[in-house]
Amino acid sequence: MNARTAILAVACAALVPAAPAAAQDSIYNPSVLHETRLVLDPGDWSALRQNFRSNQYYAANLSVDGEVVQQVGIRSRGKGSRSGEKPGLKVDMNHYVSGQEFHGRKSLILDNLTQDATFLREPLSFAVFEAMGIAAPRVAHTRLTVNDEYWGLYTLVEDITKPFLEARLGDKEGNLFSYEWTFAYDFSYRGAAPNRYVPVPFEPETHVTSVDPAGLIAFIRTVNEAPDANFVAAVSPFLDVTRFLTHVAVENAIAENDGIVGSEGMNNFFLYQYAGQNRFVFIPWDKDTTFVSADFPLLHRVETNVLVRRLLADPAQMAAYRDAVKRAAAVAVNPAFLLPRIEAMYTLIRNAVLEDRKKPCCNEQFELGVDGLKALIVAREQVIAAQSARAVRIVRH
Amino acid sequence: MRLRPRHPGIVLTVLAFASSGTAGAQEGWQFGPSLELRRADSGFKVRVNSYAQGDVRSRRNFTDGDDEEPGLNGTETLLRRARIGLEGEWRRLSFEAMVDPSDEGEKLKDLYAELRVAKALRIRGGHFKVPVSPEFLTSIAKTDFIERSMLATHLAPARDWGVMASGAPFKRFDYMVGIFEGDGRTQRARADRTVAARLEYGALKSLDLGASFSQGDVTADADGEGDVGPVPRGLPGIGASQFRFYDPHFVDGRRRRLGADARWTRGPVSVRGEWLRATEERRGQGPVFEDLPGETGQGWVASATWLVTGDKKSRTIRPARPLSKGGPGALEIGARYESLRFDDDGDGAGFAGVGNRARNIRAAADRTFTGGLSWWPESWVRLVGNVVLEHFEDALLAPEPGRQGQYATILGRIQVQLP
Repeated sequence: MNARTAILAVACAALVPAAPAAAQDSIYNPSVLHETRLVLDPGDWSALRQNFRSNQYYAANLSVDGEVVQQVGIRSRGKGSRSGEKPGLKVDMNHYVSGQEFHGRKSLILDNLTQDATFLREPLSFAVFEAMGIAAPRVAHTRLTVNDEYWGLYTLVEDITKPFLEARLGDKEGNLFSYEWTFAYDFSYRGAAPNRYVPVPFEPETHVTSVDPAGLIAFIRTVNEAPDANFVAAVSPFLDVTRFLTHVAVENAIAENDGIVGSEGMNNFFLYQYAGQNRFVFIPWDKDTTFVSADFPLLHRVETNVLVRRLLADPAQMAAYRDAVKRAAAVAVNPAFLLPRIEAMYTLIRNAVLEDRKKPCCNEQFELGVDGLKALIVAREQVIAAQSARAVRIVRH
Repeated sequence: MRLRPRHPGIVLTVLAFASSGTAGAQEGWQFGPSLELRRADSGFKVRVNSYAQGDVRSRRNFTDGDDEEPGLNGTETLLRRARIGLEGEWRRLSFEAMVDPSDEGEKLKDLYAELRVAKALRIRGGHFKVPVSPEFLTSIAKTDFIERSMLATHLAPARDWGVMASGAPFKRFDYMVGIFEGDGRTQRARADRTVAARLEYGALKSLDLGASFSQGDVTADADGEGDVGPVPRGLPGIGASQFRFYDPHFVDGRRRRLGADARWTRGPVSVRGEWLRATEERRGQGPVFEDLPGETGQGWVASATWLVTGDKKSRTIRPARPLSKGGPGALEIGARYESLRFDDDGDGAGFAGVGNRARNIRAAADRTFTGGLSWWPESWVRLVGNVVLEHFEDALLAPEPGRQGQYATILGRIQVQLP
């Protein structure tokens, strides 16, 4: 980073709206390689691996860094990352034991990192979101041992649940939807019938049996039917437009290929509707397919999503978007921000990765992947600067 | 099942009014007390059999819950039952029909006819109680406590369609043996065709001994219905507070029950005990369709009651000095201690889990003490109060994880029935 960029970074950092800080929690301390252990019936573990496409729960005892919680429910999780060899896991503390919590949480995620040979992309990506004022889940690396057998390097990921909402958004009583990818969706209006939206692709995570999707449908309808002339004004009651464009800008800055403007439609986010309001916020999720290329276009596929396309059709919003990209590059998507983090995490996890016999990649791919990631980040800063300088044209349909 | 009244007061008032007694006469037919209609020349008689129960249940030291998981603490009132039925007989034939319009689930209770061939043989056919637990065979209007014991409620079979032979072939000896469509028609855990038998022996004038048996096959739910996946058909463990301390497991294969019981009654005092064990096979119910060790549910109960007003203990309490005649009515105190425990019959090796396909089931048990007070100001009115203290063997599976007990539930009931 040159002096000019450094000055810009400092200036931009001051402009970044701060999300309420993530509270310290020892199990999400990223500077520690955690030790997670599961003890369960070997037959159950075998069954979970065989039936990794199923969401069947199995009882297990869990410990993280020696702190034990008994009779949790574990199940296979993920979409493309589902694996029988190295299953990603959702851990529900209260699936079998009513009211049970662990560190104030009723669930946590053990991400298998099978889609990222570097094991680093998700922690880096969430760090960028946080640096840009977008609340993201906390994440930390952990060794996972199942019935005394080392099962590889995972990440402990904070689940998006009420404690997250309360701590990071200041509200937890609203409707939380997880976006469940089942078909390529672009935020089109699909009619007034609730079942066109809920539970697929918007799966209620709160008020599961009583959710009222009217606000969500009104939001989507407005996005699709509001006149061009006052589109931003029409959408603004539903969405903090600047924040949303910052979210999209970060995704494109970190070269995310499977996000809101993903290659297969929208993916990898939660959508939260504040209690008693028709105001929504997008929450990033599952960022292990980021930093796919250094020359990833900054307006990659923005025309494929109704909400993004229509917002960026407004010159002022396009300017705001481009400004957000620049700020992302200045604040976080640069070697000064990311390379020290890569070095620290690499040092922390290297041995655990090399010992990981369940990972789908080989050790050489890991080492090369980390080197490649570092090179990509160095190049990415320059690409963003170059692309930002160019005039952009939105393809309008 | 939790039944909430729409108009509980109306139901109770109507029953109370009816209970005040009506009598009349028509040519050939006679109305007797208790809404009974009979014709002496043909031996035909029929009477209305009806009662209603209004309950209050209060839990104070369970859990408060939160916005995601409702707690158990709180007080609820409910019209628990509003049973209306007819029972009658004509020569060697008797019949009974009973429904409960207030039941949001199954309204039909009893519907059967019985032919008395001889003292040693009566044939009954229809929908009625499967003869295993003597407490379940006792009308809930006449049990010693507000809730039946856990074993009678959750381990024993319930009502189903079937045919049964019964009788007293020898002095002091009674039997019941039947074959049924299942072991609880309205229950999710219902087995397929079930045979059941019960023997009773009057060992002494005041002592009755009993033994019971049932056997049927449970077919696992393979596919479930709609969006719901397969549901387990094992027996559940639920306490008097309605806290479920043991979830049903996936079972498939033979379900067998074996029970023994004793009852001693002398004057105003009664003592009873009952033991019941249910075993269920789990063929192909492992996570990868392997056979699992069988599941066992075992319960026992011991209780004693004393009519402090000196009235004679019988199934139907009739105060010798009712309130309407200036007496105190009949007042009974009682105490009950019981246990219900679930486990598997495997070797206990390996991880003991609570999952519903666990190879090694993590044992769970509820031990409960119930103290009770019943007052019959008249024979057709009963007021009952019970205090239930529950203690859970596994602190983790208690209402408040980590605290085994005591969890207190206060139950109250007002019951009005046709005299």
